[in-house]
Amino acid sequence: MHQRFVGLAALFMTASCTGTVGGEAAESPPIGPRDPGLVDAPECNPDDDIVPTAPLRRLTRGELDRTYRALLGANFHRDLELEIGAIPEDAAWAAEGLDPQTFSHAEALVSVATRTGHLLHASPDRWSELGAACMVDGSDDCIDGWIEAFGLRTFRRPLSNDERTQARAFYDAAGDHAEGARRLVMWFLLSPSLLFHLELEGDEADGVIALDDYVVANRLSYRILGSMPDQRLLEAAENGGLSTRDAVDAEVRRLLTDPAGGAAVEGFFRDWLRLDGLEPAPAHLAMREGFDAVALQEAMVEEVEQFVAEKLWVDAASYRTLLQSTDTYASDPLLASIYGVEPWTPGSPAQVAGPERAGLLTRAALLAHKDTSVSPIERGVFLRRRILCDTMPSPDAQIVDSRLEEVDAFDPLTTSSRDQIATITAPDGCQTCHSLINGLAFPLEEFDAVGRFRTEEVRYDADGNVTARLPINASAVVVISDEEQIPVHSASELVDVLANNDKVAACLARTVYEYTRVRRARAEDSCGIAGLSEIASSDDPLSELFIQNGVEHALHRRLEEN
Amino acid sequence: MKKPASSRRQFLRGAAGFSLALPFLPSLLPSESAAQTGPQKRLVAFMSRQGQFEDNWFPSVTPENRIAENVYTMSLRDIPGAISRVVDDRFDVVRDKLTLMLGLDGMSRPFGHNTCFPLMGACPADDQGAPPVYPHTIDVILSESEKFYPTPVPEPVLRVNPNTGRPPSWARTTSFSYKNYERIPGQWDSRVVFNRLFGESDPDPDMSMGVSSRERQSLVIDRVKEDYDRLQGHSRLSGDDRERLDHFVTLLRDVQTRIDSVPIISCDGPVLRNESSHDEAYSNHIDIMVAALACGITKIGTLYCHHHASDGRDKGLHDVSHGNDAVSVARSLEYNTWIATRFLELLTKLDSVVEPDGTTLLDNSAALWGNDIAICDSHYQFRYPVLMAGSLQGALRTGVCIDYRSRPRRRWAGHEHLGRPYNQLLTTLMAGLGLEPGDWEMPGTPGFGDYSIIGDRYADGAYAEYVGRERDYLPHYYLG
Repeated sequence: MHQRFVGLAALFMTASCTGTVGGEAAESPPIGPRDPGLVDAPECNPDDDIVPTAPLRRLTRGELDRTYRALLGANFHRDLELEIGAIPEDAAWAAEGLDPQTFSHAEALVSVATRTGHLLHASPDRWSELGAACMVDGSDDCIDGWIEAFGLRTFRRPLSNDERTQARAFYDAAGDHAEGARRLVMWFLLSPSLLFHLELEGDEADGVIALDDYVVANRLSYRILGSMPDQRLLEAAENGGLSTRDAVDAEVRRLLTDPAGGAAVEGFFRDWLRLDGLEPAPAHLAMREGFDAVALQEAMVEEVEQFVAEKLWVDAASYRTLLQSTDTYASDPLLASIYGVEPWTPGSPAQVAGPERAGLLTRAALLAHKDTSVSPIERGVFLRRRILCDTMPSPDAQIVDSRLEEVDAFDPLTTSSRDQIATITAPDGCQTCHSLINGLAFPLEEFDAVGRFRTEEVRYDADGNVTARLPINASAVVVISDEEQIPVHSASELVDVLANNDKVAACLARTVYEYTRVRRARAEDSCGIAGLSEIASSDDPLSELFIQNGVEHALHRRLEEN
Repeated sequence: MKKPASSRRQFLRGAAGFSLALPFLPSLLPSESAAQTGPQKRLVAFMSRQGQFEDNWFPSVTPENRIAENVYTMSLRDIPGAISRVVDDRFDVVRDKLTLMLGLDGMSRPFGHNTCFPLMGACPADDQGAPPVYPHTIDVILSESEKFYPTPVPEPVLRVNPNTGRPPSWARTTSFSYKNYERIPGQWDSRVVFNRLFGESDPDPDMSMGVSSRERQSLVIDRVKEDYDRLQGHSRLSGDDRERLDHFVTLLRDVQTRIDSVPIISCDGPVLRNESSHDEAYSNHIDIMVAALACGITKIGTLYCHHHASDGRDKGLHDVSHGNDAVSVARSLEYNTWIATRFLELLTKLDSVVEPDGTTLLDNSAALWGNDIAICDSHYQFRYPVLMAGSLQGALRTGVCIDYRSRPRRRWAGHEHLGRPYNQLLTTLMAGLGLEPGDWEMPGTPGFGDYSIIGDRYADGAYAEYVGRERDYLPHYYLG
């Protein structure tokens, strides 16, 4: 097996998850690779940059939003807020791919085009915002020049002669400058070249399509900024300046220094870690302890974003360091107290928490967003799915129902959450999955519902009185695969295991790869993922993974479809 | 009602002085034909989220007047004080037009947050990711029935999911309706709904060179479709790619059809408020819905109350719905009181519209308030909390609380006090709205929806007395 496949292969070595409860077959699908075809991919050829053409994809709502802003300017973007806001939200996790467009998409896109036309017609001086002040009156030269210039930015490539001719004819058919210009704007804004990622350019030889600089510019820009190419990229494409790896590498690094580039990477972490779905701490806890659950929730999210940004861009940290660092950037006093540190001041060095606060996975935001009574299993499933990339089927509802009937039998004064879960999930049919979940979940019992380190689980009655204090047992066996089962005794030991595991690195590589392409990986993607996996498992800066992901994607050539 | 001269965008953006919305006046009703044929029957469905606690929802007294086996009733007037904590004394203004039901059980698999529950009665929980077990919700069946709609209307079902600003998540752009197992989108932007239903204000501010806004949109869409058609022939597109483009062209065509079919109607819409909070957004949508129902633009309205109070009181309600302590009950009550305010606003506005025969729009409607999980804490959909209002022109009994729970108590799998299938309410409503069993039943399968609980038909015999009675309507409630 090629060396680059070691980590990737580890991604698919995992235990199965089927079983029976009470003699009845549990029909959950097995845990395993999300796409077995990836395992059988051919060995990588370092010189091979050819992949089949990816399926045609529409722009996401976020891409559209940013593209409208870049294309039309901030003032139009503000005035189109309601129309753009009507574009349906895409699924939260881009790696799952995009849902098909709906009527609401089409309706909203037509509304954006219509409203833009209306604004220009109502206030002709606003043509200057589009860099076309001469369009107020509209000489022939002005019209043709604007079609050329706006077409280049809208289609993100030069218009063909046919397109130029058709645009002019459409304008002329209106018989009136203002009306014709208005229709042209609407037409541009509904064009497939704007709304879809079309890659139809490039010469073909022996069934392979050569790279086209405008295609490269688009891939770079949308992959990194999530928006249309800026002026510099378009000029580079025009001048043939994007045809070498060095040139593309330099552009990727330039774009990532742009605040929008950094924000896009941080957006990945936000989606990957489900920070937008974070719920405030349980209301009863907030009321009992007298804090603002919503404010704390916001502080938690902000701190994770700061932590990621500092590690990626300031410290040039590796993925391993991201997972193990005890640095914290909590500027909120309450959150800082949860970490046991003084509040962090922007621009100052990080506050350093105790050794129990190991890296990204023990941020309060990742520990605190679920109801206390169900968080252990959900924490374990989260790690299994997101950090180890395992498929984890939902349990059979009938079995869960039957198992939950035992909950009432527990004495809450003597039975910890861990012990309850261990008992409920003890049958063989449950253990086939829960041996993979519980071992990840139990070490995290060292943290309570707001992410505080604890040595005791405190139980309360309905009036908020403490009724029991039960010792925390954080020991568990972490099952990475059938062959790799490692005992740990704390959350920090769990993090050490994960941070040094090839499967975890390969999972991040695959996740970034899929997320940025907005689709599931296929067998042909294996080489690209393997390259990223090497970075994730090394001591190289994690930012390099995002840089190389951008470069590789921009430079791959495609096979001719037919 | 006079429309303002300013654009509707100004209302949404905060122009002062345009807060007038209701009451709806009889003069708002334009249709002479309505006077000749009598008022139409309408259906209104309202869904909130995160369930109800029994202590908050159910009355403090239990119906004891036995009508038939497992059918007990009492007048709502006989309940001392408010009907319940959630259905509080503010509802007294429509107390005689309400029907509170106890003991309707969801036939569902599995349990959880089922947003299609109110109008389908059976589907997997949303987080199961599986399609519903039945293809359509009843609003879809009604909207496609020539019995219910002998003549087409502009908006067969008005589905709204009020929100302010931009919809931040999927849940805020959907409805709780299903067609062919697929969820149907809802509309969150009151201005968009208004323009679609009531048209642009006149004269058309976008009229230019004799071309109206809708004509221009149609012209451009025609031109754009040509581009997409031309692109279809490109050799570097795969078959799947062409399908994607073709799908978008179909959607554009649908938009064009919608644009072309927006009726010129004489019934002015309500004046929209500045939406500085969810309260105003809900009021705008409610005003639009009531006007659309009153004006014959639609006969079905669904309102998905996805959120929530503007002040963040809804935060953490999912945890609250899983709680069983006093704090959770109190927070749920606070939240549902806000929801109840919205539902009451809808009812009172329906009741404020006087139809040509002197009855009110509420009298001629069936309005339903349900939720996605039934009872908090357990999430089991037994004793589904449902409040009905309106009598459908006397087809439904109002002013009563009807208890369908089994006496003596029947149990199943640890769950106490079984009642009767919720499906019977849905078939009752469809019957009350003029449909017959053949209009909603699948070939060879009597009844509507699923009759299984966690996969067992009639919960493995726990509902044996209802086997073969899928065509029964709710006794004492349905008057025919």
